[in-house]
Amino acid sequence: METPTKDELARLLSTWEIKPKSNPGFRAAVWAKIEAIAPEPRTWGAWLRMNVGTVAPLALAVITFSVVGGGLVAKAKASVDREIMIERYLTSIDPHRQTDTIEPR
Amino acid sequence: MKFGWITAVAVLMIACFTTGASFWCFHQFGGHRMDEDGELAWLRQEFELSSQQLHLIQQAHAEYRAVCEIHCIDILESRRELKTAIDANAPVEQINRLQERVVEIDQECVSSIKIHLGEIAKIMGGEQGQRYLAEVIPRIADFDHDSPVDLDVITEVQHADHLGK
Repeated sequence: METPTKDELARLLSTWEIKPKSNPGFRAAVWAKIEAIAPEPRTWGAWLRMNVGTVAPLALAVITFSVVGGGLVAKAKASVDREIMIERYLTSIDPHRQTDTIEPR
Repeated sequence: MKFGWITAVAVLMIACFTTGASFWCFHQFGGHRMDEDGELAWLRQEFELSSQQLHLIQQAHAEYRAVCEIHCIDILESRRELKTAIDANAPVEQINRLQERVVEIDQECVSSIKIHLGEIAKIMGGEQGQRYLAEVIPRIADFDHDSPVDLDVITEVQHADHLGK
């Protein structure tokens, strides 16, 4: 192969255009590589700080769900308790509620 | 990775604690509690009764309990007689008469309860009395007082002393 002269090289270089292809995943891939070689945080606190974006919404959702769930269970139990108390009251004044459970001798 | 598991366990523990705390708060401050014993617990918890109203209601309730016991005895006696007649293959006329007697006593009892409920509502007065009646009357009315007499069930005895009569 013939070696180009300086002028020819300069001319070739002046016509050379770089047309890089767009790579949207480039940045993520770079960070993934960095994280793959990054050491695991030494403390739980450090880990939490690192993952706060994931952990905080999850914890918030769990707490919300728990509060609502506990409230709903309490409401259901209160309703059952109320029915039992009403029935206890009515049983104390309604002989039919008592005699229907008693065997005549 | 181990921190992920520690976090998951911690979140689970927080969830359990929060659920328990939420249940306790709502149950303690927002609902009926079974820890209060007694037949009048519902009235005490659901209605805003003054100490005087509560005293009058307790008095009326105690008085009516005596009436209730008499009705209970009458109902038991009438059913017992009916059962004896049926078991002894008594004449149809006698069984019919005893069945009518059972129904009559049942109706007397229901009327008596309704009068008593009216008295309690009167003691409560106003909107509370109306609310009380709206709550209890349908339950008394819906209870199947006219159902065929079940002569063989024995599960719970409230006026157990009547059986010894």
